Amino acid sequence: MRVLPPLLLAAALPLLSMLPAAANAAVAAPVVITSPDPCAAAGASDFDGDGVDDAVVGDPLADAAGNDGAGAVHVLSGRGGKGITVTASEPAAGDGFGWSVKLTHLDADRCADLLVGAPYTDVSGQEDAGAVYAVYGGAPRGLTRLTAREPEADAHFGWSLAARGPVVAVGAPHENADGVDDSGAVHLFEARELGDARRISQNTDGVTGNGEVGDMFGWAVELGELGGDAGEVDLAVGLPHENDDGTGVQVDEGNLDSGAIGILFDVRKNRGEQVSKKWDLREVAKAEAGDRFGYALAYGREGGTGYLAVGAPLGDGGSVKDSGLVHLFRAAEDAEIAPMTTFSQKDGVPGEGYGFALAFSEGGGLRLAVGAPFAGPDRRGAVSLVPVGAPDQVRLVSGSGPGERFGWSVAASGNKLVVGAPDRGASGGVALLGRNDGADTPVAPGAGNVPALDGGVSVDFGAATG
Amino acid sequence: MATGEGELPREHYVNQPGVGGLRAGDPEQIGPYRLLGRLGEGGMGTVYLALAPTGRPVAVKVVKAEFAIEEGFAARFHAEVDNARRVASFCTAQVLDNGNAGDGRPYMVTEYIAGTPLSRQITEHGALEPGPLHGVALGVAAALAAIHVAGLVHRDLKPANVILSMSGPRVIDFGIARALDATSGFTKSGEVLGSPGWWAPEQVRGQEITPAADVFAWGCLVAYAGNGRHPYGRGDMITMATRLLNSPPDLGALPAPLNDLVRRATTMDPYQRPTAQDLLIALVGGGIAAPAPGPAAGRPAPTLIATDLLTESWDPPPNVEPDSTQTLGVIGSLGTETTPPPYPWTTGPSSLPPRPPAAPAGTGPSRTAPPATPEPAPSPGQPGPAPRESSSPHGTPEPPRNRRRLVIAALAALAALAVTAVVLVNAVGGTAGTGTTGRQTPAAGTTAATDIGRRIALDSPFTGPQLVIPRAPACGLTSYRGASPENGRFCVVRWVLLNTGGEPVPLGGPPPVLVDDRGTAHAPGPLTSGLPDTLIPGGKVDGDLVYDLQPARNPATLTVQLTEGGKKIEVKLS
Repeated sequence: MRVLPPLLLAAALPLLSMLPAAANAAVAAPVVITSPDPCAAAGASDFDGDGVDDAVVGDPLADAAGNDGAGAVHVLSGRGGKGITVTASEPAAGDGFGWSVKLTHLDADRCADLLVGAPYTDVSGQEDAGAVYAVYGGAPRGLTRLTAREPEADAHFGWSLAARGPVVAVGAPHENADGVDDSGAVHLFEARELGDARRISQNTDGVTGNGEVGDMFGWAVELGELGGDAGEVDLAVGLPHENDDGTGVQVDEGNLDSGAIGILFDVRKNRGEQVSKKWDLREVAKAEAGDRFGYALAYGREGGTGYLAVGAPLGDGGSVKDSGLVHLFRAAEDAEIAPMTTFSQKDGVPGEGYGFALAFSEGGGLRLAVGAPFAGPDRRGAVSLVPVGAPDQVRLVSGSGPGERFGWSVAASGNKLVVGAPDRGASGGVALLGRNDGADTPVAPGAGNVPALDGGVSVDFGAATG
Repeated sequence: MATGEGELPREHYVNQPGVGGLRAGDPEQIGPYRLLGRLGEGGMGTVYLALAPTGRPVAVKVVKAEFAIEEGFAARFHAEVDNARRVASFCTAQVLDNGNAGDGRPYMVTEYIAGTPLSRQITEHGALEPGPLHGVALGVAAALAAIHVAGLVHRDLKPANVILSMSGPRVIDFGIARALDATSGFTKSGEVLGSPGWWAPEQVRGQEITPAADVFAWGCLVAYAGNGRHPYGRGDMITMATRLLNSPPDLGALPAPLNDLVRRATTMDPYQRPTAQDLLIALVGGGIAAPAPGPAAGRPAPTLIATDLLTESWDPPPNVEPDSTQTLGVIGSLGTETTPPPYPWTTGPSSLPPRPPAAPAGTGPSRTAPPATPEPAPSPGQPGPAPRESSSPHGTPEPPRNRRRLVIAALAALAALAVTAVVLVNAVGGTAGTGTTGRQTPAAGTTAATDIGRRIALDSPFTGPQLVIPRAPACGLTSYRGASPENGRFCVVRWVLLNTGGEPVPLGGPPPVLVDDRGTAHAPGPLTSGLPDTLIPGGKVDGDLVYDLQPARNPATLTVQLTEGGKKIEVKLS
């Protein structure tokens, strides 16, 4: 296995810190770093500092080091596409490490850092409470584990992840927030410290809406500038199982599971009371039960304008029932976020899942990548690349084999798009798509430059990309 | 066998080093076999050198009386030996017979392999040179492949059970460990079955023993033979077990490709180890499940030639006589041989000529003929085997034939394994001509379009529950969590069930049915892990389904029904 020394160190340090103080003192050899800054030439999403943006692929069901379903994450280095494998410091069976992944910047160096969700990790005896790991790129540094302040069984903290500027947001959609089953919560961290979490649910002061059974607030999370104070980060939260039942607490009323999103402005600054807005699907498009608006979220920026894309993969896109749709919101400079337009598949087919996964690719004309993992007669899946400025010039890329769920996950990395096909072969795979050209490079563990898991089995490679 | 061999004086055998005289209390005869001397004694029983009525020297292993008196032991013993008799005799000592001695103790009869145990060779002469080392690695892998394809696990592979004979390494003493294991799990002396230092981690943990345990032992054995020291060092049982579970083996410096193969074979997780067949293929130059398209053609195959080197350059210690099964007629001349210096070859594999074009690239059942002419000619710059040839004792098969023998054995093993599997299926099933033309175990590493590793929607694709079979089923197991199969071999199917939808999913369907490659349906055994009544939103559960299949059968599909009367989903396993 190709593991960079920093990762080895990273894996070892948390173990050491758990030892009693005396033992710790005895074994803690000084880490001497004499090399020059490994991140001096780092690109924007460059984990290893080689100057080229990297991509991250999660395999949450992988057998890692003999632990069934512990999960693993692969960093695909931009230069040469060499792979680095990351596993939890103490992988345990069934953790689901790699369920969600995100390349971001947490510390001060120029190298990108990695957040990995492991929502089935047992924490403090709470089964499947969930955890998130921060893995630092560049100079050796211990990895950090984030958990809820009060870990709760089956909350699935780490189901979703977002990071931008100084904020890290972690979704725990199955948390029984405020005593309401599966109403869900989002936990916020300061990117630099990653200390104690601030927990936000629908019952937090100032958050529009009420926690109801099975809302799953936090199923998806995204951060961006959506109309709050300039320079402050706003939080978008998906609630795909919200019923559009109007205000007040209702259960089983309105369109069940039509879904909604909430926007919390200046979420970091507003410590006491939140300032928020909420959209049910019916406020932006024709809505039905089960549309699942808010299943996927993506934020992109072009010029001074921020865009938020929201998927409803069972929405009635182009009036084809359950073919899926994406609604695009826009927050122009100094203006608050507002609905803008709805995208759907040109000749949609029920159940193809358009809007299941979303990502923006910035630079040289903002493009939105929309995954439809069940598209095609044999459900091979597809991804639509939609130029935001010219939505009719869609480029459609299909999977390469039946049933491979191409488009289950999408992420942007430099001038490439990373598309997950977790059912391609037994291990799963991803495709690296050229943003502008027609390049389509398949990547899978154990092939080319991506090493197979050493002492493990790849199962769901491509279930998450970031 | 030529007639008249039985007239050789008994003393001739007894005077061979390694063969002890009979002791007081030893019977004169066991069944029809006239005892000549003692070959060894262990926790399980005593092994005698004996003469068959035909005059052929054989090894007779008699189990200790304390095992024999246990209820049902004899029946299990004979059942296991019957299995062992099906093992093809590639690099193994063939099992010839079994029965009960006059005092009721069960015994088994194998070929007598004259030669030096690998253990003694290393103790007395140190590590093997690369050539012989490759030969040992290849021969033992071929033996394991033959044992495993018969549905057996050796369970006690160690250097003492590998005999370096004139015709190459031979594996002995397989086939009855399981009968003993099922008896008590412990031998009389209190040792866990198997031998300290040659256990696989799962053996120490008391987990299921699969052919992978033998592969682990193969790795340790090759590392031991190549370095002259055990990869886990020395120590008592507890020390060795602790090291085994907690520290990586010290594999030393082994020549390629053994370094890589041994590293893989000694992986902690039995599922990650290559199979014996993988090893065999890799050692005859095929590479091992290599996903990267490499320059397969034109790559030198050191092992083939190394095998030649083994048979050519093998300098038997004085106690090694020619393999009795092949050259009994020249036994009388052995005493005149002087001891040549051991291991004259220092040539590394890199300077060896490329492999013959006919070397195998796969395991297709059509491969029935060995290559016509392996390349015997050493390259000019290579130290030739001339000195050894010129001093060959008369009557010993001449080098070209010798050279070919192991290679042919290995190739024949490759070709025959698939065939053997088919024969076994027919033999076990009892009905010939069922139309299973050449159906064979899928080669390791192939990724046919199965449902392994896929998220199989049991209902609506992303609002309903998803079933994942994360890895290919582990089959051919002779035990699972301490239980033994009643029909044949356990086949364990790992599963994961996910509910990424918004509603709780009731789980009340019938147990999943496994259909084997001959169309027989099987219900899971009681060892199968249970299911909760409901799978909550976001919930994930996993477990093992355990099926008991007849030997040599493989799983084909799994039929899953989420609820009683619900949709039946067929999962392709192979």
